[in-house]
Amino acid sequence: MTAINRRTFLGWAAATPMLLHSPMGLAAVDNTAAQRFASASQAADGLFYLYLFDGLGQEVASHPLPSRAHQVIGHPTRPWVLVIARRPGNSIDVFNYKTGTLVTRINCIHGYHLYGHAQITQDGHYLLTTEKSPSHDNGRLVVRDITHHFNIVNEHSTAGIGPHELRLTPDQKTMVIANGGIKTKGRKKINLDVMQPSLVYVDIHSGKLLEQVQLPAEYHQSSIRHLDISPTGQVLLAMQYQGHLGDTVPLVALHSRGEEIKPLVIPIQVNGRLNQYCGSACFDSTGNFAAVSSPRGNLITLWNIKARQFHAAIKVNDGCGIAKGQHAGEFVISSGTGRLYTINSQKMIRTAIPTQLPVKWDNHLSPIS
Amino acid sequence: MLRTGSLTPILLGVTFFILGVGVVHAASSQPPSEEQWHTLNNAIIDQHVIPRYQRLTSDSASMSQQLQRLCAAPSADKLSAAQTSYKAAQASWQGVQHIQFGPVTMLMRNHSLQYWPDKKNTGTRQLKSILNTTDKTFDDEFFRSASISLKGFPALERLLFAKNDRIQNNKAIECSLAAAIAQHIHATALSIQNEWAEEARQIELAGQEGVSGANQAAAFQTYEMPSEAATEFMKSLVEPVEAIRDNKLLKPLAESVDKSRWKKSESWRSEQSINNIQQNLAALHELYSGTQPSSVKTLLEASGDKLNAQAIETEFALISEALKSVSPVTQLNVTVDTYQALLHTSNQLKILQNKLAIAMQTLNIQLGFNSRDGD
Repeated sequence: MTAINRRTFLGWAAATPMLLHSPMGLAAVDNTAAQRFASASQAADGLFYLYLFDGLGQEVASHPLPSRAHQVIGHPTRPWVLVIARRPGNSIDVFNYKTGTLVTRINCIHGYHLYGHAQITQDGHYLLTTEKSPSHDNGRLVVRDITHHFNIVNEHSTAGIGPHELRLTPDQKTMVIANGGIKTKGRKKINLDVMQPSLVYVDIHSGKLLEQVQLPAEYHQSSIRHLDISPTGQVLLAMQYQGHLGDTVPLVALHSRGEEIKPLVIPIQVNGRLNQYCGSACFDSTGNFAAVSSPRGNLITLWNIKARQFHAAIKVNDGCGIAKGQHAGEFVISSGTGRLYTINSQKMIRTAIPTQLPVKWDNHLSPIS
Repeated sequence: MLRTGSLTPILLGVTFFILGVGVVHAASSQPPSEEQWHTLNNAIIDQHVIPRYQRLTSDSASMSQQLQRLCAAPSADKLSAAQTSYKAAQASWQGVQHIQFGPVTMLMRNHSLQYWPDKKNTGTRQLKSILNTTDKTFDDEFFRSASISLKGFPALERLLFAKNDRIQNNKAIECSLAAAIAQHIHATALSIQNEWAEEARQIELAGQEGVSGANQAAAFQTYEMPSEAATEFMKSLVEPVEAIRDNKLLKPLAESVDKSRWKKSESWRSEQSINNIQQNLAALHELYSGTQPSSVKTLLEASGDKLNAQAIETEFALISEALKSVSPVTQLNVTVDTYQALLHTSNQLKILQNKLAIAMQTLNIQLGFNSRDGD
């Protein structure tokens, strides 16, 4: 067996020359201190907190949460962040980070639970969540009117079991939803042999299913859980395979409307290290680069989207949250060990953000504008 | 916002739910320094990891030789010798199976050495398909493209312990494939052993400033601090306990002796399933307290939790002692006594698991937050 140089993929040397030498896409104007990020977390006291912090890792605001949360999203026009409870939680805290007060706590309809993710329309009018209803097998896309006390104004089917992350298309008319395919009782998975994950596009007003795509049948245990959408509407998928750890299956893929899901090839040296689990997917500010976290493999994989190619893998212990940074190819990463980093995928530099916040950062990190 | 209280991180996760008493205790503990972790890492590498990979390399070399002898001139004696050498090599693998980070994970070698549990029976299907071909050469090229389920111990076990005697025909594809798999296992073990030199160097570099190279990129280390590398060793100590209990014991034991399904056990063909567990526990015990001058146990004692440190030591000893008296399951026949004994072992493993979870808290080791979440 040929000896393998591990550093060729674990370190900066994995970068392809083309990407390393490509020019920066944006002017490097640094306003790091003005950047805002938000994430759910668990603190040393064992309780759960929302934290907002700046690009230097300094706390801007914090708020105690009733239970473990998952994604945090910002309101586009108000100084609010919404903290969505982790599956199978059923509440969303709306927090005003300027006044440091809880605006309201939204509760699901009796019997419903959340899947940890939500989106707000760009005009700040509607809040959309993926939820489970006791009377439907398929997930629900629940629409609340933010301007009218978060009253539910609509509810649509997600056309699949176990919806998870969702993203609005750039025209704000369509919701792209990752139906993970996994049926759960509490947090126990009960249908792994027959699960059927899918990616769907749903009209947010009519609820009409516009498109539904799946991976080939042999990959039916690749649960599509997380996604991001580029400024042009291209969708990046991060998957979690429910079969054997030794199987070779797609874990990262791209999709564009009207096409099949196109898995991205992960080099075999890296693939085995991901432990079949990707946690977050994120395009950079240009949509030309992307990052996908694999907390079980302690790796962040970086992707050249234009070339549809793996670019490199960088080690971040228990790293999961990813937010786009200011510049092309730049990402901010949060980890379960409480670390924060900036990764520049063009220069292949991982820089620690010297935060002193004593928390474990939960799965997702969001930029707050 | 400021909060007061213990700064000792609290382990999360369904499997590591900590009792309140542990939290109270940990509040008065003093976790190890980075220097102490550094010393422990070196001790574990030198006295536990490297010797165990060396043993796997050596035993798999012997196994490969025995297979070659068998295929050159088959006989019942040579088959028996080959089977014995298989059991020794497999025991060596079981003694290092708990190390699930570093070189063994490259190219999924951890899974290619042993694709198990094989819920979809992939190994049987792939093996059947290969055995139906008559002109196959089992060279490096074959193993580069072969299914992962054909490269390791389970496939070799199927061939060596098959009820038919086809492996005793030196013209049979079974023998050449078995010999090739044995050689592949040896080559894999040797590569992993050699690559640990670089892994050890990376672990040694953890926490050092001004790494050579002096440019920005060179400052990017595989392990930032010794405690980060130590966390990998602590995962290797703690996580297998639950896996052994769930996969190697509770699944084959099922709900009752009548419903037990020993074919779900790890190595039922070679009748080594119980020996595997003994090897696993012996390895974990060594990782816990068998290194000098520093061990997990001594760090736990130094951190102020002598009681739990000794309780874990006692638990390991009790489990090993109890397992010694369990007879191997033959002919898939699980007796009532064996069933009860193994069920008792699974209960002991649960106790050990809880005690280790509390120990990790005292040592300020966080085994994972996002990586254990599953969302």
